[in-house]
Amino acid sequence: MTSRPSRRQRRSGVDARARTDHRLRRRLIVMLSVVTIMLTVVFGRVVMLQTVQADTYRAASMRQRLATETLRASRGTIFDRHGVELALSVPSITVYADPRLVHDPVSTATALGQLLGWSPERIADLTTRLGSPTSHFAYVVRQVNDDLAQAIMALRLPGVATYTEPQRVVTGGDLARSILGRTDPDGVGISGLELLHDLDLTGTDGRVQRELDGRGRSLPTGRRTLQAPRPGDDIVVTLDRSIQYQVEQALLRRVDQLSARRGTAVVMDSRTGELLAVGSVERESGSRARVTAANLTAVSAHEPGSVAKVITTAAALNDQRVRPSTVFDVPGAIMAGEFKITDAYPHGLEPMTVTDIMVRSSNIGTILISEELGVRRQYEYLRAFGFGERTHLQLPGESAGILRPHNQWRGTERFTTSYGYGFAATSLQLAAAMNVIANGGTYVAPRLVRGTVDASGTVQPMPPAPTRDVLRPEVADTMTRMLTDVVCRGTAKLARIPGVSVAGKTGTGYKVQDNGTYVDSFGRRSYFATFVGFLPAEDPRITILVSIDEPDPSTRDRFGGTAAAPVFAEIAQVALHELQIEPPAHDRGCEPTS
Amino acid sequence: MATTSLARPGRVHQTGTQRRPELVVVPRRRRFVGAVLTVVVVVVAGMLAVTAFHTRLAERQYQLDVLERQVSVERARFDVLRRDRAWLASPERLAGRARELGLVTGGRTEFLDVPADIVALVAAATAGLDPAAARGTRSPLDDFRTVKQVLQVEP
Repeated sequence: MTSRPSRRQRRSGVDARARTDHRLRRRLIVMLSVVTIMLTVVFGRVVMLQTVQADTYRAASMRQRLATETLRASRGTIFDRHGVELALSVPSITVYADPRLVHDPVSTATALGQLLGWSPERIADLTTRLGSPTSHFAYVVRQVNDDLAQAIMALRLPGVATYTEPQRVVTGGDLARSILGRTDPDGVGISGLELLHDLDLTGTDGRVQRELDGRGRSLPTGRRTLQAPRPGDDIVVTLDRSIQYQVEQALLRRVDQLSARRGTAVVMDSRTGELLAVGSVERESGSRARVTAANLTAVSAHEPGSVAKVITTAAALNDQRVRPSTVFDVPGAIMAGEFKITDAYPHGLEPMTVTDIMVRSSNIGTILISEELGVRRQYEYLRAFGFGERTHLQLPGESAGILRPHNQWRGTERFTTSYGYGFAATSLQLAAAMNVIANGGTYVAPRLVRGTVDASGTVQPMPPAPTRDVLRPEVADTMTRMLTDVVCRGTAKLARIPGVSVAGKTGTGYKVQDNGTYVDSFGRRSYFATFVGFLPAEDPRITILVSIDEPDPSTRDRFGGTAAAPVFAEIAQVALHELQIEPPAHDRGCEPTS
Repeated sequence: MATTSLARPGRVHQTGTQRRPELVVVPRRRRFVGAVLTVVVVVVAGMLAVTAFHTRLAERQYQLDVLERQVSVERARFDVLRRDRAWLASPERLAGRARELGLVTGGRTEFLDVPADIVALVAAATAGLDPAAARGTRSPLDDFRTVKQVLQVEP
């Protein structure tokens, strides 16, 4: 049993408790202050993060999680008139290297170069690029096939990797390469239709942004924005792949046979101006001919020679200066100033009708016809037939030819222009000009694109080719009969086709040499042989031009009627078959009708 | 003046033999535990549901990613097949194959007059079938346009 504490003891106990309480309170105040300060700091920091610095951190956070991927728009396909792909883009593999990750540039470049069959110079170039300390990226090889890419990756070279990118492919190899053109490795058109219609074919790239987790997978509720790519439009051209191939093959054979330098051919729908085939081949000295990348039918202009007699004669008939039966006394030679002009074959003074002049391709007779017409009208008709200006195609590098205004014609040009010297024309211009006769006197501009296929898969047809009246229809009929005679009994007998009437005109032009004359320093001439015609003459459906540039001058096959006309006949039969053209029932070709 | 003795709080004030009714302790604790358990169960169930929902979302997103990759691969394959088909049907390949088989280029085209009775017999035998219809008119461009129409609506 304890005794009750005394008054003093009770007082001292109260004092001790008070001191303890005071200390406790003081500690609590300190703690509270510390906690308050800490919370204030934290709160302040939170306020800073949520207000002033919020955007910065939000953006930094999104940068870490957001992956932006460019969705490359696919380049449009080029189809032929039957809907067959001529050029399209397919995925291919590009091999690249990050020089920072390449341990040994020399051995890496050597291993790659050996696998790719590179020259030592090319390996040295790659070694230099891989050794660049500041570079982050270097192409090794672009757009290779899967097998090669896998072989490269099997080497397991540090810093070497691959990615997929589209590659432009022409499905027929060299087929129509001068017309289709090509793109650079980045898919930008650099020649031909690829360049001309680059804006149509090129789409608009898209973009997708996704929030990814640490393993690169999309976050389910994450942000995702998609800007879909717009694919390029597809183009449907007027070319017929099968005719195009056979035209090129026929040209290749003929250029090789004649050891010629070049050859061109144009096959055109007489009514619509649609180009069914456009061929350009070239042969280097001592090698075989090959299809060229240059569109010689559009970029190369030559003096057309006797083909121009068609324009002169048609113009004179249309202006009613002459009739087919009008007779001219044609001498064997005439003097044009100091220059003597003769026909291709010697003859004395000889009466010839306009038809005879055309059939026998008389230079002097044509000059006499042109004198009835006058140089101003002659020039106006040449322009109306499409000479001296680019065609409506506006192909890259297309030539307008050379045709000076008539008041600038000098010296012999006042005479020679009538039979095809003194101005220059492209094969396309010549074909379109002859087509005026085939089309009943109406010029129809050559046409190469039928339509486009938009993003919804709808075909948008292109407007028809522009036309203009040049000759009266009865004049075109008269000219057709004359040109049929040229084939049946004139200079173009090798262009005949059994059972089908053919109308056309040969042309053999001398090429201007480096010395500015038609004869080189060894006294030799170079020829440009042309035949342009249409069929069936009774109801024209196709116009065809064939030209052989610089055939062997030592043979008889250097003229339009011998070098080019046989190719015309071959191509014409192909076109008849492919287009299933049947001649009119009463058409017997050059055989006498029974 | 009558005075009333007021009971002080906390103290039981008994007067005489009068007894208050016996107080019964309400089991508040048990009710509280039950309520807490209910809330916990609901919260846990909700969390599980949300987790399951997110898992499902993630699964679907993964499937979407897979499908997008598959669409991309199939598009590429489609283009490769178009290229291959165009090459297989190209005149260059066909001509080469024909040469391998020993075929030669046909000779000159000749147009023959077919007697009218032969024409009539053939027409009767083929029921006037249009050769173009027999060949089929669907071109690679038609197939391509169909695919392009589908791809247009696909994001």
